[in-house]
Amino acid sequence: MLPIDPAHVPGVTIVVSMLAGVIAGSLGALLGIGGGVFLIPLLNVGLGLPLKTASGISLMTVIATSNAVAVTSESRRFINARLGMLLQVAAVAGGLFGALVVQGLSVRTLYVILATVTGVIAVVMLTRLDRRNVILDRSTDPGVLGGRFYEDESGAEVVYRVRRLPAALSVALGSGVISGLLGIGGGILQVPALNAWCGIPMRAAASTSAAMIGITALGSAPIYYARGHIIAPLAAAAVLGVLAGSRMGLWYAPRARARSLKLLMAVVLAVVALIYCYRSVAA
Amino acid sequence: MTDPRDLRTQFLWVVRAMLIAAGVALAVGLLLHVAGSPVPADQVLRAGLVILMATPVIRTLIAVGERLRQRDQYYLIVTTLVLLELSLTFWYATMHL
Repeated sequence: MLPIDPAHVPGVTIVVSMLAGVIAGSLGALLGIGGGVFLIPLLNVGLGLPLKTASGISLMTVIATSNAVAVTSESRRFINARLGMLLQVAAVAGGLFGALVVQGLSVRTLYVILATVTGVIAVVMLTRLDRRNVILDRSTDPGVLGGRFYEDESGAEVVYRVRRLPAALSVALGSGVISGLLGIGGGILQVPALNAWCGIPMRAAASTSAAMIGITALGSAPIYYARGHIIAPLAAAAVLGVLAGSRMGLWYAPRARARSLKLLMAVVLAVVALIYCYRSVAA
Repeated sequence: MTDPRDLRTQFLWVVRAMLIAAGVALAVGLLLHVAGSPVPADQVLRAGLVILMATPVIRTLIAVGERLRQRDQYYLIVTTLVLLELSLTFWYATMHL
Protein backbone atom coordinates (compact mmCIF):
# COMPACT_ATOMS: atom_id res chain seq x y z
CA MET A 1 0.00 0.00 0.00
CA LEU A 2 1.40 3.37 -1.00
CA PRO A 3 1.78 5.84 1.85
CA ILE A 4 0.13 9.08 0.85
CA ASP A 5 1.16 12.43 2.30
CA PRO A 6 -2.14 14.26 2.73
CA ALA A 7 -0.47 17.59 2.00
CA HIS A 8 0.87 16.48 -1.37
CA VAL A 9 -1.42 13.96 -2.97
CA PRO A 10 -0.22 13.02 -6.48
CA GLY A 11 -2.39 14.33 -9.31
CA VAL A 12 -2.75 10.84 -10.74
CA THR A 13 -4.20 9.59 -7.46
CA ILE A 14 -6.68 12.44 -7.46
CA VAL A 15 -7.77 11.74 -11.03
CA VAL A 16 -8.15 8.01 -10.38
CA SER A 17 -10.18 8.75 -7.24
CA MET A 18 -12.46 10.99 -9.25
CA LEU A 19 -12.91 8.36 -11.97
CA ALA A 20 -13.63 5.75 -9.31
CA GLY A 21 -16.25 8.14 -7.98
CA VAL A 22 -17.89 8.54 -11.40
CA ILE A 23 -18.12 4.77 -11.83
CA ALA A 24 -19.36 4.20 -8.29
CA GLY A 25 -21.81 7.09 -8.49
CA SER A 26 -23.44 6.05 -11.72
CA LEU A 27 -23.75 2.40 -10.75
CA GLY A 28 -24.96 3.38 -7.30
CA ALA A 29 -27.62 5.82 -8.46
CA LEU A 30 -28.76 3.36 -11.11
CA LEU A 31 -29.30 0.67 -8.48
CA GLY A 32 -30.62 3.01 -5.81
CA ILE A 33 -27.69 2.45 -3.48
CA GLY A 34 -24.86 4.71 -2.33
CA GLY A 35 -22.20 3.25 -4.56
CA GLY A 36 -19.83 2.76 -1.64
CA VAL A 37 -19.75 -0.95 -2.29
CA PHE A 38 -18.17 -0.20 -5.67
CA LEU A 39 -15.98 2.68 -4.54
CA ILE A 40 -14.29 0.86 -1.65
CA PRO A 41 -12.78 -1.96 -3.78
CA LEU A 42 -11.70 0.60 -6.36
CA LEU A 43 -9.94 2.75 -3.75
CA ASN A 44 -8.72 -0.07 -1.50
CA VAL A 45 -7.65 -2.65 -4.09
CA GLY A 46 -7.16 -0.38 -7.10
CA LEU A 47 -5.41 2.58 -5.46
CA GLY A 48 -3.97 0.82 -2.44
CA LEU A 49 -5.58 3.09 0.12
CA PRO A 50 -6.02 1.64 3.63
CA LEU A 51 -9.47 0.17 4.11
CA LYS A 52 -10.55 2.67 6.79
CA THR A 53 -9.53 5.55 4.55
CA ALA A 54 -11.50 4.06 1.68
CA SER A 55 -14.40 3.57 4.07
CA GLY A 56 -14.27 7.16 5.31
CA ILE A 57 -14.14 8.56 1.78
CA SER A 58 -16.95 6.23 0.77
CA LEU A 59 -19.14 7.50 3.61
CA MET A 60 -18.69 11.03 2.28
CA THR A 61 -19.76 9.95 -1.19
CA VAL A 62 -22.76 8.11 0.25
CA ILE A 63 -23.87 11.35 1.90
CA ALA A 64 -23.41 13.14 -1.43
CA THR A 65 -25.39 10.64 -3.56
CA SER A 66 -28.11 10.25 -0.99
CA ASN A 67 -28.75 13.99 -0.98
CA ALA A 68 -28.68 14.08 -4.77
CA VAL A 69 -31.40 11.42 -4.91
CA ALA A 70 -33.48 13.15 -2.25
CA VAL A 71 -33.65 16.40 -4.21
CA THR A 72 -34.25 14.93 -7.65
CA SER A 73 -37.87 15.00 -8.76
CA GLU A 74 -37.53 11.80 -10.79
CA SER A 75 -36.95 9.66 -7.71
CA ARG A 76 -38.93 11.53 -5.12
CA ARG A 77 -42.30 10.08 -6.02
CA PHE A 78 -41.04 6.64 -5.00
CA ILE A 79 -39.56 7.74 -1.68
CA ASN A 80 -41.52 6.57 1.35
CA ALA A 81 -40.44 9.12 3.93
CA ARG A 82 -42.49 7.77 6.83
CA LEU A 83 -40.99 4.32 6.53
CA GLY A 84 -37.53 5.62 5.71
CA MET A 85 -37.27 7.89 8.73
CA LEU A 86 -38.54 5.16 11.05
CA LEU A 87 -35.89 2.79 9.76
CA GLN A 88 -33.27 5.49 10.29
CA VAL A 89 -33.86 5.35 14.06
CA ALA A 90 -32.39 1.85 13.91
CA ALA A 91 -29.90 2.51 11.13
CA VAL A 92 -28.21 5.59 12.63
CA ALA A 93 -27.86 3.79 15.97
CA GLY A 94 -26.19 0.97 14.07
CA GLY A 95 -23.91 3.36 12.21
CA LEU A 96 -22.72 5.01 15.41
CA PHE A 97 -22.08 1.61 16.97
CA GLY A 98 -20.20 0.37 13.90
CA ALA A 99 -17.96 3.42 13.73
CA LEU A 100 -17.08 3.05 17.41
CA VAL A 101 -16.34 -0.67 17.10
CA VAL A 102 -14.36 -0.58 13.86
CA GLN A 103 -11.20 0.69 15.54
CA GLY A 104 -10.88 -2.55 17.46
CA LEU A 105 -11.29 -4.90 14.48
CA SER A 106 -8.49 -6.27 12.29
CA VAL A 107 -8.46 -5.56 8.57
CA ARG A 108 -8.83 -9.26 7.80
CA THR A 109 -12.00 -9.37 9.94
CA LEU A 110 -13.38 -6.46 7.95
CA TYR A 111 -12.51 -8.22 4.67
CA VAL A 112 -14.36 -11.32 5.84
CA ILE A 113 -17.40 -9.29 6.85
CA LEU A 114 -17.41 -7.47 3.52
CA ALA A 115 -17.09 -10.72 1.54
CA THR A 116 -19.79 -12.48 3.55
CA VAL A 117 -22.29 -9.67 3.43
CA THR A 118 -22.03 -9.10 -0.31
CA GLY A 119 -21.97 -12.80 -1.12
CA VAL A 120 -25.11 -13.54 0.87
CA ILE A 121 -27.05 -10.72 -0.70
CA ALA A 122 -25.96 -11.72 -4.20
CA VAL A 123 -27.34 -15.21 -3.65
CA VAL A 124 -30.60 -13.94 -2.17
CA MET A 125 -31.13 -11.53 -5.05
CA LEU A 126 -30.46 -14.14 -7.70
CA THR A 127 -33.05 -16.48 -6.24
CA ARG A 128 -35.74 -13.79 -6.20
CA LEU A 129 -35.36 -12.14 -9.58
CA ASP A 130 -38.94 -12.49 -10.78
CA ARG A 131 -41.04 -11.76 -7.70
CA ARG A 132 -43.12 -8.63 -7.88
CA ASN A 133 -44.71 -6.90 -4.92
CA VAL A 134 -47.16 -4.45 -6.44
CA ILE A 135 -50.89 -4.68 -5.81
CA LEU A 136 -52.72 -3.46 -8.89
CA ASP A 137 -56.03 -2.68 -7.15
CA ARG A 138 -55.81 1.07 -6.55
CA SER A 139 -58.42 1.10 -3.83
CA THR A 140 -56.21 -0.96 -1.54
CA ASP A 141 -55.30 0.90 1.63
CA PRO A 142 -51.53 0.98 1.91
CA GLY A 143 -51.72 1.30 5.69
CA VAL A 144 -49.71 3.63 7.90
CA LEU A 145 -46.38 2.92 6.29
CA GLY A 146 -47.19 1.71 2.80
CA GLY A 147 -47.25 3.81 -0.31
CA ARG A 148 -48.48 4.33 -3.81
CA PHE A 149 -46.87 5.60 -6.97
CA TYR A 150 -47.40 5.72 -10.70
CA GLU A 151 -45.49 3.02 -12.50
CA ASP A 152 -44.51 3.16 -16.15
CA GLU A 153 -44.42 -0.60 -16.66
CA SER A 154 -48.03 -1.42 -15.86
CA GLY A 155 -49.21 2.05 -16.87
CA ALA A 156 -51.15 2.62 -13.65
CA GLU A 157 -50.84 3.72 -10.08
CA VAL A 158 -49.70 0.87 -7.82
CA VAL A 159 -50.13 0.39 -4.10
CA TYR A 160 -48.11 -1.55 -1.59
CA ARG A 161 -48.26 -2.39 2.10
CA VAL A 162 -45.32 -2.86 4.43
CA ARG A 163 -45.09 -6.31 5.95
CA ARG A 164 -42.88 -7.65 8.75
CA LEU A 165 -41.87 -4.27 10.15
CA PRO A 166 -39.69 -5.83 12.91
CA ALA A 167 -37.71 -7.54 10.18
CA ALA A 168 -37.31 -4.22 8.35
CA LEU A 169 -36.09 -2.55 11.54
CA SER A 170 -33.62 -5.36 12.23
CA VAL A 171 -32.27 -5.11 8.71
CA ALA A 172 -31.97 -1.34 9.12
CA LEU A 173 -30.05 -1.79 12.36
CA GLY A 174 -27.78 -4.42 10.82
CA SER A 175 -27.14 -2.40 7.70
CA GLY A 176 -26.37 0.62 9.89
CA VAL A 177 -23.74 -1.38 11.76
CA ILE A 178 -22.25 -2.60 8.48
CA SER A 179 -22.27 0.97 7.23
CA GLY A 180 -20.30 2.09 10.25
CA LEU A 181 -17.89 -0.83 9.98
CA LEU A 182 -17.22 -0.80 6.25
CA GLY A 183 -18.24 2.61 4.99
CA ILE A 184 -20.88 1.38 2.57
CA GLY A 185 -24.27 3.01 2.52
CA GLY A 186 -26.09 -0.04 3.73
CA GLY A 187 -28.61 0.22 0.92
CA ILE A 188 -27.05 -2.89 -0.55
CA LEU A 189 -28.53 -4.81 2.39
CA GLN A 190 -31.74 -2.90 2.89
CA VAL A 191 -33.05 -2.86 -0.67
CA PRO A 192 -33.10 -6.64 -1.25
CA ALA A 193 -34.47 -7.28 2.24
CA LEU A 194 -37.21 -4.65 1.98
CA ASN A 195 -38.10 -5.96 -1.46
CA ALA A 196 -37.96 -9.68 -0.62
CA TRP A 197 -39.23 -9.78 2.98
CA CYS A 198 -41.28 -6.65 3.58
CA GLY A 199 -43.43 -6.40 0.50
CA ILE A 200 -41.96 -3.17 -0.84
CA PRO A 201 -41.67 -2.80 -4.63
CA MET A 202 -38.17 -2.51 -6.01
CA ARG A 203 -38.33 1.16 -7.02
CA ALA A 204 -39.83 2.30 -3.72
CA ALA A 205 -37.27 0.27 -1.78
CA ALA A 206 -34.42 1.58 -3.91
CA SER A 207 -35.45 5.23 -3.83
CA THR A 208 -36.37 5.27 -0.13
CA SER A 209 -33.12 3.57 0.78
CA ALA A 210 -31.04 5.84 -1.46
CA ALA A 211 -32.58 8.93 0.12
CA MET A 212 -32.03 7.64 3.64
CA ILE A 213 -28.53 6.16 3.61
CA GLY A 214 -27.03 9.65 3.70
CA ILE A 215 -28.51 9.98 7.16
CA THR A 216 -27.21 6.54 8.14
CA ALA A 217 -23.73 7.45 6.86
CA LEU A 218 -23.88 10.57 8.98
CA GLY A 219 -24.09 8.32 12.01
CA SER A 220 -20.50 7.29 11.38
CA ALA A 221 -18.86 9.78 8.97
CA PRO A 222 -18.02 12.43 11.62
CA ILE A 223 -16.18 9.77 13.64
CA TYR A 224 -14.06 8.72 10.65
CA TYR A 225 -13.43 12.40 10.00
CA ALA A 226 -12.43 13.11 13.60
CA ARG A 227 -10.08 10.12 13.67
CA GLY A 228 -8.25 11.39 10.60
CA HIS A 229 -9.12 8.52 8.26
CA ILE A 230 -10.36 10.81 5.51
CA ILE A 231 -7.75 12.26 3.13
CA ALA A 232 -9.48 15.51 2.19
CA PRO A 233 -8.28 15.97 -1.44
CA LEU A 234 -9.17 12.36 -2.32
CA ALA A 235 -12.51 12.65 -0.58
CA ALA A 236 -13.19 15.80 -2.59
CA ALA A 237 -12.22 14.10 -5.86
CA ALA A 238 -14.33 11.04 -5.10
CA VAL A 239 -17.35 13.11 -4.02
CA LEU A 240 -17.22 15.28 -7.14
CA GLY A 241 -16.87 12.17 -9.28
CA VAL A 242 -19.77 10.51 -7.53
CA LEU A 243 -22.01 13.58 -7.90
CA ALA A 244 -21.31 13.62 -11.63
CA GLY A 245 -21.78 9.88 -11.95
CA SER A 246 -24.98 9.84 -9.95
CA ARG A 247 -26.59 12.41 -12.26
CA MET A 248 -25.99 10.02 -15.13
CA GLY A 249 -27.32 7.08 -13.16
CA LEU A 250 -30.41 8.95 -11.96
CA TRP A 251 -31.31 9.95 -15.49
CA TYR A 252 -31.30 6.34 -16.61
CA ALA A 253 -32.81 4.66 -13.53
CA PRO A 254 -36.56 5.20 -14.18
CA ARG A 255 -36.08 3.87 -17.68
CA ALA A 256 -34.57 0.58 -16.51
CA ARG A 257 -36.61 -2.55 -15.89
CA ALA A 258 -36.90 -3.78 -12.30
CA ARG A 259 -35.63 -7.26 -13.19
CA SER A 260 -32.53 -5.86 -14.90
CA LEU A 261 -31.78 -3.75 -11.83
CA LYS A 262 -31.93 -6.78 -9.57
CA LEU A 263 -29.76 -8.89 -11.87
CA LEU A 264 -27.13 -6.16 -12.18
CA MET A 265 -27.00 -5.73 -8.41
CA ALA A 266 -26.59 -9.47 -7.84
CA VAL A 267 -23.78 -9.86 -10.35
CA VAL A 268 -21.82 -6.88 -9.04
CA LEU A 269 -22.18 -8.08 -5.46
CA ALA A 270 -20.91 -11.54 -6.37
CA VAL A 271 -17.80 -10.04 -7.95
CA VAL A 272 -17.09 -7.84 -4.90
CA ALA A 273 -17.57 -10.87 -2.62
CA LEU A 274 -15.04 -12.90 -4.57
CA ILE A 275 -12.52 -10.09 -4.48
CA TYR A 276 -12.68 -9.84 -0.71
CA CYS A 277 -12.73 -13.58 -0.19
CA TYR A 278 -9.42 -13.65 -1.94
CA ARG A 279 -8.09 -10.69 0.05
CA SER A 280 -9.10 -12.08 3.42
CA VAL A 281 -7.13 -15.23 2.66
CA ALA A 282 -4.18 -13.48 1.03
CA ALA A 283 -3.78 -10.78 3.71
CA MET B 1 -46.96 8.17 1.64
CA THR B 2 -45.20 11.15 0.11
CA ASP B 3 -47.15 14.38 -0.35
CA PRO B 4 -45.65 16.46 -3.13
CA ARG B 5 -47.01 19.77 -1.85
CA ASP B 6 -45.51 19.74 1.61
CA LEU B 7 -42.93 21.92 3.30
CA ARG B 8 -40.15 19.66 2.17
CA THR B 9 -40.72 20.62 -1.45
CA GLN B 10 -40.65 24.33 -0.66
CA PHE B 11 -37.38 24.05 1.20
CA LEU B 12 -35.62 21.67 -1.16
CA TRP B 13 -33.79 24.65 -2.56
CA VAL B 14 -31.96 24.90 0.80
CA VAL B 15 -30.62 21.37 0.42
CA ARG B 16 -29.77 21.99 -3.23
CA ALA B 17 -27.91 25.18 -2.28
CA MET B 18 -25.93 23.33 0.37
CA LEU B 19 -24.98 20.60 -2.07
CA ILE B 20 -23.82 23.22 -4.58
CA ALA B 21 -21.87 25.08 -1.87
CA ALA B 22 -20.20 21.87 -0.77
CA GLY B 23 -19.40 20.95 -4.35
CA VAL B 24 -17.92 24.37 -5.08
CA ALA B 25 -15.82 24.30 -1.89
CA LEU B 26 -14.54 20.81 -2.71
CA ALA B 27 -13.73 21.78 -6.29
CA VAL B 28 -11.97 25.00 -5.28
CA GLY B 29 -10.08 23.23 -2.50
CA LEU B 30 -9.02 20.50 -4.91
CA LEU B 31 -7.73 23.06 -7.41
CA LEU B 32 -5.82 24.87 -4.65
CA HIS B 33 -4.25 21.58 -3.58
CA VAL B 34 -3.19 20.66 -7.09
CA ALA B 35 -1.90 24.21 -7.64
CA GLY B 36 0.46 23.67 -4.72
CA SER B 37 -0.93 25.53 -1.73
CA PRO B 38 -2.01 22.70 0.58
CA VAL B 39 -2.76 24.76 3.69
CA PRO B 40 -5.53 27.02 2.37
CA ALA B 41 -6.63 24.06 0.23
CA ASP B 42 -7.06 21.96 3.34
CA GLN B 43 -9.23 24.57 5.03
CA VAL B 44 -11.48 25.01 2.01
CA LEU B 45 -11.72 21.23 1.57
CA ARG B 46 -12.63 20.70 5.19
CA ALA B 47 -15.27 23.41 4.93
CA GLY B 48 -16.74 21.55 1.96
CA LEU B 49 -16.78 18.25 3.83
CA VAL B 50 -18.44 19.87 6.84
CA ILE B 51 -21.16 21.40 4.65
CA LEU B 52 -21.65 18.00 3.05
CA MET B 53 -22.07 16.37 6.45
CA ALA B 54 -24.47 19.10 7.56
CA THR B 55 -26.84 18.47 4.64
CA PRO B 56 -28.58 15.35 6.04
CA VAL B 57 -29.07 17.21 9.32
CA ILE B 58 -30.83 20.05 7.50
CA ARG B 59 -32.96 17.52 5.61
CA THR B 60 -33.99 15.90 8.88
CA LEU B 61 -34.74 19.29 10.46
CA ILE B 62 -36.97 20.09 7.50
CA ALA B 63 -38.73 16.76 8.04
CA VAL B 64 -39.32 17.70 11.68
CA GLY B 65 -40.62 21.14 10.72
CA GLU B 66 -42.96 19.67 8.16
CA ARG B 67 -44.42 17.17 10.59
CA LEU B 68 -44.77 19.87 13.27
CA ARG B 69 -46.97 21.77 10.86
CA GLN B 70 -49.06 18.69 10.12
CA ARG B 71 -49.24 17.82 13.83
CA ASP B 72 -48.05 14.35 12.96
CA GLN B 73 -46.96 13.11 16.38
CA TYR B 74 -45.72 9.70 15.33
CA TYR B 75 -43.44 11.19 12.75
CA LEU B 76 -42.32 14.01 15.04
CA ILE B 77 -41.11 11.49 17.61
CA VAL B 78 -39.34 9.43 14.96
CA THR B 79 -37.41 12.30 13.39
CA THR B 80 -36.52 13.77 16.78
CA LEU B 81 -35.06 10.41 17.78
CA VAL B 82 -32.92 10.39 14.66
CA LEU B 83 -31.70 13.93 15.40
CA LEU B 84 -30.80 12.93 18.96
CA GLU B 85 -28.76 10.00 17.65
CA LEU B 86 -26.98 12.23 15.14
CA SER B 87 -26.08 14.71 17.88
CA LEU B 88 -24.54 11.81 19.83
CA THR B 89 -22.29 11.11 16.85
CA PHE B 90 -21.33 14.77 16.48
CA TRP B 91 -20.64 15.05 20.19
CA TYR B 92 -18.37 11.99 20.13
CA ALA B 93 -16.58 13.26 17.03
CA THR B 94 -16.01 16.67 18.56
CA MET B 95 -14.51 15.06 21.65
CA HIS B 96 -12.02 13.14 19.52
CA LEU B 97 -10.94 15.73 16.96
